[in-house]
Parts: sequence; structure tokens; C-alpha cells
Amino acid sequence: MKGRFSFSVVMALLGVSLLVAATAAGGTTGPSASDKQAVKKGGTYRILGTSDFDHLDPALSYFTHSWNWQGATQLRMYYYPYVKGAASQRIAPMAATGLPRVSNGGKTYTITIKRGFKFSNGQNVTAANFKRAFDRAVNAKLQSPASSFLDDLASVRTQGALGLQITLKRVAPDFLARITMPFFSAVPTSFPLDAEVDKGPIASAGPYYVQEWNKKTSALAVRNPNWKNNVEPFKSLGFANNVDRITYSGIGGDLATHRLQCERNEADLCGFPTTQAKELADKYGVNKGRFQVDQDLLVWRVDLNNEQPLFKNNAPLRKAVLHALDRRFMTAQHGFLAGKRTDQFIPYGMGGFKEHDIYSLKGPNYAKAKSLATPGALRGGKAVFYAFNRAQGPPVAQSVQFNLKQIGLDVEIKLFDRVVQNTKAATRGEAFDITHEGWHADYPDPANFINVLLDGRRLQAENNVNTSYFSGAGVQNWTQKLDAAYSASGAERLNLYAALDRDVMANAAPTAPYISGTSRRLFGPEVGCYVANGQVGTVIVNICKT
Amino acid sequence: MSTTAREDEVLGATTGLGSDVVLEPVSDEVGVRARGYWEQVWRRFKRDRVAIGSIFFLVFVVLVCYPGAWLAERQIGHSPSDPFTDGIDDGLIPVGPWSKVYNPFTDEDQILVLGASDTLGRDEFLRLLYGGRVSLQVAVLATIGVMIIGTILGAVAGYYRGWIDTIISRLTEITMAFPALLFVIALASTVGSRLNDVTFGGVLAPGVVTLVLVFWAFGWFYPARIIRAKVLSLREKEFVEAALMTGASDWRIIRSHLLPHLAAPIIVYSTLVVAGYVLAEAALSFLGVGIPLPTPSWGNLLSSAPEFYTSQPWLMLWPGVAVVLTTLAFNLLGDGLRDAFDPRSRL
Amino acid sequence: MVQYLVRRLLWAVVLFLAVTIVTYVIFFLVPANPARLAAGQAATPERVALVEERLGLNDPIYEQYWGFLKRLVFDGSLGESFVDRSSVNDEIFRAAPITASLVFGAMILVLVISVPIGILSALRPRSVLDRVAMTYVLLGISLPSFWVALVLSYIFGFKLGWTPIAGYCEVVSVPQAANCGGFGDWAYHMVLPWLALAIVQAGIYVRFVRAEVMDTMTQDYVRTARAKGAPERKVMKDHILRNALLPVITILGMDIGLLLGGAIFIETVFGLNGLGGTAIRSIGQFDLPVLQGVVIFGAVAIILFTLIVDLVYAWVDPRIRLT
Repeated sequence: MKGRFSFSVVMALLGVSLLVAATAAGGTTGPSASDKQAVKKGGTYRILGTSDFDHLDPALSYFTHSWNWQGATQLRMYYYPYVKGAASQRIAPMAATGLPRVSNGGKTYTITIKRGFKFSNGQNVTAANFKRAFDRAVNAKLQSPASSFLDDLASVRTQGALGLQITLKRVAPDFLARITMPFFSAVPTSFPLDAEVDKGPIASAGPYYVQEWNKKTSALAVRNPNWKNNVEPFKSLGFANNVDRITYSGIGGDLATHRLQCERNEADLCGFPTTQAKELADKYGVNKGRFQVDQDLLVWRVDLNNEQPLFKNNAPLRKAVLHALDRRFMTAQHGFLAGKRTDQFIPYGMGGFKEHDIYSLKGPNYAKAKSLATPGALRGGKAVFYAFNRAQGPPVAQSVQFNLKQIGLDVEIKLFDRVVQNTKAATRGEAFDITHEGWHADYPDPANFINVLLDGRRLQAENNVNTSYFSGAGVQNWTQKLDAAYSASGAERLNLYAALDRDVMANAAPTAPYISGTSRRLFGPEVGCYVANGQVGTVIVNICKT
Repeated sequence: MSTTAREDEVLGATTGLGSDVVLEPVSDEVGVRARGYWEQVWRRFKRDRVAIGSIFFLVFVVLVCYPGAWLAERQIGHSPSDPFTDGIDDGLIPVGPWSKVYNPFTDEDQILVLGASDTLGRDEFLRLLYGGRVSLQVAVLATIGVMIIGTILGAVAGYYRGWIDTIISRLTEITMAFPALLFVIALASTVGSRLNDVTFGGVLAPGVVTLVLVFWAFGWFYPARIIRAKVLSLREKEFVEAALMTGASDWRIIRSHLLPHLAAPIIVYSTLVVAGYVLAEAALSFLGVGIPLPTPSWGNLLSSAPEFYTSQPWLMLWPGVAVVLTTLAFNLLGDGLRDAFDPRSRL
Repeated sequence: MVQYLVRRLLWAVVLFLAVTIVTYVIFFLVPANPARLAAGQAATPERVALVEERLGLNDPIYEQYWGFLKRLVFDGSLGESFVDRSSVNDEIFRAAPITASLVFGAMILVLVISVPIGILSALRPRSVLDRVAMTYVLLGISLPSFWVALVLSYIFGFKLGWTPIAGYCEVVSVPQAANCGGFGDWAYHMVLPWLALAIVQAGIYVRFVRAEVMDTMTQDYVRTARAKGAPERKVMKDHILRNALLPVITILGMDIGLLLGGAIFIETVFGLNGLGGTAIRSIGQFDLPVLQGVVIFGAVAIILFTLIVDLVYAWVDPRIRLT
């Protein structure tokens, strides 16, 4: 599994993604002002983003703002419902008739697709269209990020026109959650297995489809003419589909400018500089319709490299670092209402999160840190920090540098473009001691954090997401515990993950999580009917212009 | 070739650095009459109050940046790179001028004279002083290098003419065909970043060497062209002819007959070029490809300012004013020097 | 004339070769593994090796350059982006009109500002107008262009709301997805960028026009014309302005070439996603083909405009082609 981090987080901090997409667990909060206002049909929903989509082909698209569009254009088998409250955390069928029938000891899933869905080009949606999505995802030449979510896939077969049978190699309680990701949307069987579809119109079976994509300039989605709100199978989904058109522009622009464009009603959804969040909150109020803040499943952390000489088998120094950090100051660097301080790996709001209170969240505990950072543990006292050169990258790195200097560790900061920094840190053996990373849940399950990021067996030569290169040293039977938690289910599963979170942070301290993030969104004056969704961000099919 | 036929025009064809002096008419009538010439220049210069004022201002800037920054740091009790947790408010906005912040190490409150400079709550005042060092280092070193390379190449080309001149002139034209700004940016941020750590034992700030080298690579040809044109015309003069006939060596002719004539354009052009490089450093750092953080420079301070322009507009003011006043002073000084050297100059 | 033309064209080719060689060599030295970047984020080492092979990164550098030059000259192709595998040509075609809009518009404005001021200032040296003009010149060369741009956007865009703050609108073939389009929108969005660029540039031109006019006024042919009793207006028009402004046009041509690759600061401030913005972005991502493409485009623009200027000049002034 690769996780949505490298893209969504990259983009978020480049100021690219307006929508640091939340995951379904956090779901939605806050009343929208528009609840009271008249809902109007029609109009254009104008999104501004500083960066283009990575892809609009569902097999490849992985940026947060791309998933936002997939939410409006794609038809998935299952999804986290576009509602507020607890219901948003329970997987519901979208194109499927109901939950899958599970057999073969939990390894085979049989799904039936509802009759009646149609692509924008008029073709009927059948099980073959979903099979196509799996076939494309695992195609080596297409290099879909989805392939990393299908390690355990044994086979996908259609049964008649509407039946789909998926068999796994082993039991995976998170499988249903995984296939809620837009990668597994219905695609026309004419989509090539090994090549990207990037020229509009891009046929899709959701309420809208991409009519135009002018790379690095703009994109336009319009209504799928074959989506009929008032008849089944569409009716029971209850998508409002208020707006006629969705546009995306502003690429290459400046966040401060985008902000003003939303304020002047030149756009409907905009990014803004982190330093202006307070100003916007004061001006429009929080969660009153214009400035929305939602808890997100996103954790930023400072990774210590457990395979380089400084921190390798050096738990005392790693703990000393975690005691010395000023989490309050580091969190502040993400801006007003950017999230809560944390010292834990699992984000707030995720199943399996329990408050453990291991390190100081108020400020550095230099006394404790110094007692651990003995000359022996310091091993010469020099560290190399790979940081990124934009947004909160430089200030967070400098804050860490200052904190660690107080315990006798001299940190040399090397700044890179985010993509470059990420690529370097993801290469095993690269000579860094500290790096700055964020992880954004692809779907709301603690396995998407703990198993993906802290399992040493997943380490490879390049493209690692476990950038602390932690493989369990310091925690007894780590891998066995990982496996046990992964295949457990229900409350037991969550308890096991909570215990893993505590064990790893208190005993091994391989990395220093410091903020459990939110997503903050600024809307134009005419936008209403706001609902946030963990995977697709602002639910476009629900948005209305007033 | 056309390029030699319209030397003057081509010389002016620059958008950037100090392009204005190059049209200065090469006036040969103001001959080098030993001390008399310099006395006259000095007399004229003394009367130019604006130019004298500029000199005083520049001396002041240097004093403030060199002993000044160090003294201020000792006096205030923290360094320009110390972060202050309460140097920012809860909206991540730096505090305003004359704010009190708590220093956990000395356990006492301290004053940020000009407020905090960024989201780390660092001292804007100290960073402005230290930033001035960096900006001056870049500008002065870049100018010295550019003038030395340009003078040597220009003088050699103009004096020896022939194939040497052809090579140097063609090299000049090739250099001019490069989109210089793009190249400077590309070089500074890619190949150049390897040199960021070269500081000569802390004498220079990190990144200064990179910028200076890149500026040398694309800046030498302006002075080279001016000096070449000047030497070409001097070469035809009787006193050079006479010296040649008496069998004086090339070096002797260059040193005692040509260099004194070249002093004026070199001095004038240098001051204007310095101004250009102060701007260039600010501009590159504004784009994020200049001096690497956390080292302060005026460009770095300016580049972090726009995000606060709705909340703390003075953050754009301090470094902006520092840059504008310094470049203005260098430009005024250059104008004054030119007038002093050649009162009939029309530029 | 033909001989001159051929010589001039050949020299342009030499310049082009020199620039591409240096560009190629420099970007070859960049401290990053191009194949790694070209293969993409999720690439396996095998795939990286494959891409290395395909890009010919294992060949000696002169062979690589030769391949690059062949593609460039015969197919007109600048290669494809490492980051998203899109064609660099497309990227340049998308970005170039934006930068061109900025540069040409601003240069017209520069002429409108600097020619009248420069002439009047030359005719009345040391007058109030002249002093004001000279102060403006000093400010023009002392102000950082991005600072001027920021201040303009703050005052006119943000505080007064008279103009848009940023963005670009297509004039022709407006995409349906665009929020603005057409000539009116285009000009309305370009007003501030034009002003910002022109204000800084015009300073140099005022000084230059003034110097040229003053210089021309002392020429023998002007004195002769006056002595012959030609009316002052005619002397001004036919003798002084004609000769004084020709060099100005020359510089203008070369500056346009230079700015097409170098209006980065104004583009950045006003969110114009032109060549400058493209270059900056590609530098950050080590997207070497795109960076190289922009640099080569910029160099070609300079070479081309220099050539045009030379040819026009030779056509207007016969003395030149004889030298």
C-alpha cells in the first residue's frame, strides 16, 4: 500500500490542494449556513486551485483535489455516505445492491451491481465495468497507485452481467474500505488497460462527467445526461446534483489572490495562505458557511531515521528528541485551527485512537530530554534534516533545529522542493537522520496508518512510506502484533491498534507525530448545502448556489 | 559586422543591471593631465551635495551592518535566528514593533524593536541588520568580479584587436544570447546549490558564493564592452602611438597610458552595477532561489512579507525601504561621479 | 545585402548551437538522477533502468546532445516532461502567449511613457519637467520590480478593487471551463501587469531617449538643416526624431527578446502562468526537459529579435550592410 500521502500532502502544502480531504470517520461537522437558505438549482460551481489535477483517469488520479472531482464524476460500488454524523462512517452501497456476500472463510466477496446506471456516453454500467477498474489497477504498465492496495488480490470474475466475484489471498477486514477509493470506479471497457485516458470528454457513470480538461489551465465537468435523479437506481442515492457545471481553474496562481477571488464572488471554493486563516475565521466565523473547518485524518510528523548511525538502536536519544520538541510551536506553524497537538501515531477521530499522554504537548521538556541525551547517546551530536522549502517546511525544521540544539544535537537543515525531499527520504540508505512527513488516510482504518507506515517488512529500496525505517526494534513481537491487529475485527481490532500506538510511541519512539490535522475551506458568498466527506472532500453533488 | 557598427546602441541594450551608464559618451578631450584632472574631478564632486550625502548614507549602512549588527545582538541578548514562541499570535501573525517576548533561557522579557519577522517570531530588527550584510556581500563581490573580468577582457580585446578581439567579441555576443535571468535562476538553484556551504570559514553567508559566481558568469560582458570601446579609441591616440614608437612594452602602455583613462568609467560603472546587484539579490531571494533560509537577507525578508500584507504591512516596508534607499544611494553616487568626471555627460 | 543577410543568418545558427550546447551540458550536471525523475514516483529500479536506456542516459554526453539536437531541429520537439510526461512543446505553446501578452503590452506602454517624456526632457534640459523625469529615472532603476508589482496589486487590486488582482484570460479559443475570456477580459486582467513592468522599464528608456535626442541635436546634419532655414517642426520630425528613435527601436527589439524569457517577477506576483512561472516550477521539480525548453525558447527569442533588429536596421541604414 502506498497511501495518499505523497500526493495529497505534497499538494496540500504546496498550496495546491484546496481540499485537504478528510476521511470518512471525521466526516462532517458544523451546520452550513445554507441550511436555512433557499436551494437553487443550476449555476456553476467554480473551484480555484493553484495546481492542476495529476490525472482525471480514475485509475491514476490520486491528488486530493482530483479525488474531489472523482466524487462528482465517478460511480463506485461502495462509499462513505455524503451525510453528516455517524452515518457518514458506515460504508454504504452506491452502485451495489447491498453489502457483499462474504464466503470462503472471509476471502471471497460477491457483489451485485444495480441495473440502470449509465455512462455519459450512453453505455450501461455492468459488472464488467468494475472488473475493468481492477484489471487496470493491477496492470504493471499503467502503474496505478491502486496496485499497492491490491497486494492480496487473487482474482476478479464477473458472474453474468451484474455479478462480480472478488477473491483475496488472505482475510482482510479492511477490504471493503479499500474499494471505496475512487480507483475502483466503473470505467468503460474501452478504456485501455495500459494507457491513461486524459482527453476530455472522459466518459464516466457518476452524476457529472469531465467534458474538457485543458492541462495546466482549466477543467470543466457537466451533467451526465443519463443520470435521472427522480427514478431508480438514482433516486435512492439521494444526490441533489444542484449545479449544472463544475469548473476548475486558477492553476499557477497565488493563494492570497485566490482567497480574494472567493471573497469577491469570482470563485466558489478557494485556498488561502495559512497565515490568513485567523483573519478569515474572525471575518466569517467558523463553520458558518463561508469558512469551514473539519477534523481530518491527517498526521504530520518528524521522522527519525532508524537505520542511520545516529538513531539506530538508540532509543534513549529518540525519546530525548520527542521530549525536546515544542509541539505547540510546531503546530502553530500550520496556522489557525490547523489541528490538534498530538504525540501519537493514530490521528484523532480514527477508530483505535486513545489518548495516551506520553510526551509533553505544552512545550519542550528539556530536563527530561537532557537526562536521556547523554554524551553516549548523542554519538557526536550531529544530525541532518531533510526538509521541504515551502509552506511550513522551513519554520518547522528551524523550530526542531532550535529545540534539539538545547539538548546538544546540532541539526543541519537541507531544504528541497517537496517532491524531491520526499523522493530522497523514500530511498533506503539515503544519509539523513530526520525528515518531515505527513500522512493522510486513504480510508478510515488504523491499518492505513500503523501497518502501512510502521511495518519493516514493507521496506524496499525506493519509494518507502515508512520513512523512519522502523522495523520493530524496541517493541516486543512487533510484527506478530501488527498481524494480529490487522486480521482482528470489531472492538478487539481497535483495542489492539490503540495498544500498538502506545507501545510504539512510548517504547521505541521511532518518529515524532506532532499535529493531527483538520481541513479548512473558504467558500464564495453564494455557496450552500456544504457537506464534507472523508474521501472526496467537499461533496460537489450536494453543493448548491444560493 | 553590424555589431561593431553600432557599438553604442548595443551597449545600451540591456534590461537589467546598470545598463544606463553604458551610453556615456567616451570623451577623450578630458585628457589625463596628471593631478590637475583628479583635482578638478574632486572639486566638482565636492560640490555635489546629493552625491556626498549618498556616500555618508552608504558608510552609515556599512557601519550599521558590520559592527552594528554584532553590537545590537550583544546588547539585545538574543540572536537573529532565535525563535520566540510568543513572537506570533494565535493566527500565526508576527507581533508588531516594540513587542515584549519571553526568553525562556534568560527567563526575562525582551523587546523586539521592529517586531517579529516571520512565523517563527524572530527579531526583524536583527535580521534586517544581518540581512544587510548578506545583500552587501553579494552586491560588492559580484561587482568586483564582474569589473575585473570585464576590464581585463575588454582591455585585451581593444588593445590587441585582431583575432583576440574577434574571439572576445563573439564570446560576448554568445553570452548576450542567453536568457540571462532564466540561467541565473536555473544555475543558482541547481548546480549552484552545491556551493551553498562554501562560506570561507563563516566570512561569507551561505549561498553568497553561489550567487556571486552566477552573477559573474552573466555580468562580465557589459563592462567588457565599455572598456573595449574606450581602449579602441585610446589606441588611436597620439600618446599611445608615441609610446609604442619609443618601444614601451604592452604592459607599460596599458598600465601608465590606458589604465588612468579607464579609471573614470570603471568607478562610475561600478557604483551603478552595485545598485543593480542589490536589486538582483533581492529579486532572486524573492523567488526563493537566492540566499537559503534561515540566513537573513533583504530579499529573504521581502519574500516572506507579502503573505502578511493584509495583517502586518510594515514587514514589506522595512526591507523594502532598505533596498530602495541603498540602491538609490549607489545610483545617485554613480550619477554624481559621472558628472564629476565628465560634466558634459548627458545621461 | 544578400551577403550580409547570409552572414547574419549563419551567425544566428552559431549562437543557437552555442546556447543549446551550454544549456544541455549544464542541465546534465544537475545533481539529480534524470531517469529516476522521468520514471515517476512509483517506479521500480528495473523501470528506472529501462527509462535510462530509452532516454539514452547511458550514452556518452555528446551522443545524447546530438540526439537532442536532431529531435529539436528535425522534429521540432523539445521532449517530454519528466513529471507528467506531457509534451514540452505543448507547455511552451500554452505559456508563451501569456508571457507575450505581458511583454508586448508593457513595451507599448513603455514607448508611450518614455518617448514623449524623453523628448520633452531633452528639449528643455534642467527644466522642472526634466528634473521630475530624471527623478523618475532614478526611481525606475532603484525600485525592485516585484515590489512595484506588489504595491500596485495591493493598492489598485486589493484596496480600491479597480482591477483584478491576478489571472489570465484567453482572447481566442476560450475554453468552456474558463471563468473569463475575450479581448475585454484579457485587457482588463493585463492592466496591472503591464503597468508594473512598464513603470520600471520606462525609466531606462526615458534616459535613453533623452540622451539620443540631445546627441542628435548637435549633429552636423541637424545644424545644416537649421542653417538652410528649414522650419523647426520639420527639423524635429525629419532629422532629429527619425535618427534619435531608430536606436530606441533597436533596444526595444532586443529587450523584448530578453523579456520573453525573463518577465518572471511580474508573472509571479500576478499569477500569470507564463514561461517564467513554468521555469520556476520546473526548477523546483527538477523537470529538466521543461526547464530546458523554456531556456531554449528564451534564447531563440533573443536571437530572433536581435536578427530582426539587425536586418531592419540594415534596411533603414545602408551604411551598416557595407561594413
